[in-house]
Amino acid sequence: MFRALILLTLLSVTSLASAEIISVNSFINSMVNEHGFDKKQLQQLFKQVKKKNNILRVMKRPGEAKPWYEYRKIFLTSDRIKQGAVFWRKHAKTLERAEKTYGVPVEIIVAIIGVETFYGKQLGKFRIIDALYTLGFHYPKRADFFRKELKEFLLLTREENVNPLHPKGSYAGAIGYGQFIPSSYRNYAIDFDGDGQRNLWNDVEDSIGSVANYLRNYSKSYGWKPDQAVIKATKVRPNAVKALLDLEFKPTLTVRQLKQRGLQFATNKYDNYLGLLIDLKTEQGTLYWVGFNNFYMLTRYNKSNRYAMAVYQLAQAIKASYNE
Amino acid sequence: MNKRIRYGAYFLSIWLLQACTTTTEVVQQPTVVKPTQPKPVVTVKPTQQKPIVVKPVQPAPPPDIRGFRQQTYATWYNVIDHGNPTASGDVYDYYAMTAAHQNLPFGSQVRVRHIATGRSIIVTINDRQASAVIKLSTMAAKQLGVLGKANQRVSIEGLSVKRLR
Repeated sequence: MFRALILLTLLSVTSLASAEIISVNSFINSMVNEHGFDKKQLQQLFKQVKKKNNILRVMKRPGEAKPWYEYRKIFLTSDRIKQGAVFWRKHAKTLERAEKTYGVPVEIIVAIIGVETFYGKQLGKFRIIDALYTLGFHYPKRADFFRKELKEFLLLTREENVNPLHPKGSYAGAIGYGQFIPSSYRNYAIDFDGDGQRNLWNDVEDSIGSVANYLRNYSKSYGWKPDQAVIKATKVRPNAVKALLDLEFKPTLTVRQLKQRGLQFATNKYDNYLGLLIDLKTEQGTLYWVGFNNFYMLTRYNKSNRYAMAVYQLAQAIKASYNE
Repeated sequence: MNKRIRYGAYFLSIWLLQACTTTTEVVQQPTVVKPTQPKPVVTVKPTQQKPIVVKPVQPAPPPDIRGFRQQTYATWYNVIDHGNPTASGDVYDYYAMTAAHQNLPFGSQVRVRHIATGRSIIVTINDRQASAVIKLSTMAAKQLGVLGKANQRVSIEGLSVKRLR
């Protein structure tokens, strides 16, 4: 009985391994057939790619499930605020040009870079190809997403003439100051210092411009709206909370319409703005906000209300520190 | 004798008062207002004409509160105030660095210092407060280190006044 169990385990391990080989082969084949890659070169490349078990361990950690007030403490630290003001002073010209060009306030761009990589100090130490391979072939929960990003990465490195074994980034395969995943790099990266090449691997100017461009030109329907508020505190009729939170997470209703559905927003200044009800857990219980279009844009960077609120509050704190 | 002087002073003052009133009355006598007549037209040669400088209508400059100093006690909003309107029209936010004050203009940036510790924060005044204490947002009170503590002395120093958005 015991022996049978060991045998079974062994069998399942080998079958998993062979399934993985099959899927890597089919991935290579699709890159060859759909994108004209050289088969032998890709096979050679994948021989040098490594599965990183520590990445899989990180992904299993439930770190993202922290309540807002715990999550907030990670990012709203006096060091991150001060360093944000330092980064602002150091790159003021570029940041102000980015605000002028794309309408995204300096403090928002700084805060995003601050949350993502502590102003470029934590760019990640994994080879991006290892990270994307590991998650694309060994993390079933989101394998499709990461395999697609692996494809995007190979296209990107071919387009940008970069050796795919060289770039390093986060455990999730994100690149540079603004932590762009490869598909975002391909779609939104811009050459902001005018040197003829967009370079998010290590160019801070291109990174600043690209973060602003991402928020402004996210899609045909959604982009940063200059001079619009991001988020405001609100009350909500208790029996309307669930229905308002269950709405599709997209700013499609105006504040006026949300009020008709139970939002108790204490001003009519924003009645024509598109809005969403946001709930966050504080030390003193759940509080509510109405997030406008620009709050939604921050969630396009990372699909999380806590993330977007952390960026917004860090931005306000950095601005206050910078002006002081 | 003493009494007489007192009376004398009394009547003197009355006389002086009357004299004052009389003088005032003279000044206040209605003056005959002549109907305004068109000024004689003076022909001015174009070359002599001074250029007309049109000053742009500028909004009143923000009041200067740099000299403002006050020592008072710190209080703070209740969590249930989150989402309530403030006197400035802003909505109160648990996390915003704002405060209510008795009379400082809205948009005032003030430094609030916790006297016991020397710790200070900058807040924006966006609400009114009946008594002389300053009422801080929850996050402002927390950052200052006074949240939940009774009778904490603070000093307030006016910095500037910004337009509230």
